[in-house]
Amino acid sequence: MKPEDLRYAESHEWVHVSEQDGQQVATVGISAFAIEQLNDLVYMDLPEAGRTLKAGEEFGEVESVKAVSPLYSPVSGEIVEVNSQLPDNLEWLNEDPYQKGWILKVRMSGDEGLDQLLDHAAYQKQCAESG
Amino acid sequence: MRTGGSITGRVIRDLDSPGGAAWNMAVDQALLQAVAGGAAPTLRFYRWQEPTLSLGYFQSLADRVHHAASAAAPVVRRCSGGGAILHDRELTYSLIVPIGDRTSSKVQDLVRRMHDSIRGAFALANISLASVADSGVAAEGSTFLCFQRRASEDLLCAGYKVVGSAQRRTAGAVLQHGSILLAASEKAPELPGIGDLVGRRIEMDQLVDGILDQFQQRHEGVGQWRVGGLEAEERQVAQQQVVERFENPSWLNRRP
Repeated sequence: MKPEDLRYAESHEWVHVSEQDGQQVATVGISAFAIEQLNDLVYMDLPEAGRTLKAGEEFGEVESVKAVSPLYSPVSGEIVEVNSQLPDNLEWLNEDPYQKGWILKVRMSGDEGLDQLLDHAAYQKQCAESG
Repeated sequence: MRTGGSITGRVIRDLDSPGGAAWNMAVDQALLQAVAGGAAPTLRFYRWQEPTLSLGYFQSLADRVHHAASAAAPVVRRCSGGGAILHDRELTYSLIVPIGDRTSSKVQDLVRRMHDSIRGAFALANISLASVADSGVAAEGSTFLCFQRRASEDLLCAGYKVVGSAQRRTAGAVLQHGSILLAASEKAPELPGIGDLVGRRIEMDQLVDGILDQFQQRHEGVGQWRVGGLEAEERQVAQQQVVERFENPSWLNRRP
């Protein structure tokens, strides 16, 4: 996935929506900008598949330089797959945040949250402004 | 983060009535929720009823077998990151301020700002602390005890780490926990405190006055800091947090 083709939450999660078996499935990760800002991730906790999330709900946590930060779901739906190898291979987030660093796949229950997402240009602008 | 000097911050001095482990953590959790919901930025100084081991959020409870001296001490899991701390002859602080973006370097910068204030307070008493970054000491983040780790902003006295901080961030606020080691504890005798290293007793009240004075000069987002206490609703949230989280075995065992 190319960063230009993704959509982004203000809270730095990226989303790629695809159609699978007639249903919309969102792949979710965290942006390269956020990973760089958080600096040196050492721990990550992820949820189990099967859990239902609402857009904006906390789904996991990361620790970086002694700071624990939540991860927020940009969409609503049921978690159908989790990148369970990621917490033991956090370097993937730095090396390849938009492919190997994917975090969740969520079978979307509707469009809730989608209209809040930014396209790549708008997200880049937000990052530049936040410094 | 809000800017401008019109905001009044709240200082809570809980030095004379040390709290239990779960209560201490629950108060900070309640303050984090309150500040995220619009309450004033808060700086709290506190102590512990008895020598207590606090684990970093992601630490395994089982790892405490590696530290025999603190085996008999009660243990609590913090919501902030970092390593384990033996709270005994030390001063704990919590700083809770609103934030806009949890990934912003401004949030991480609060650690440096607070540590500069602590360093400034000690400098006025002719005690010199140096940051790990300025000392050229290599970073080390894997040991069980926080005070045996080295992060760039940590403060050293005569080469020993004596001040460290960790954070819990949410969408609306950050809780920063920190510990200032004043003297060695029988339950962690390998960690000397500032008083041991400089051969002087550190007066806690005087130290808090000094840190506050220094911090007021460095935290431009708040015009003034006034001494206050917990609001009734915050106390209620803290009481709930004691039961639901900090005294709940599933919280302590979330990483067995």
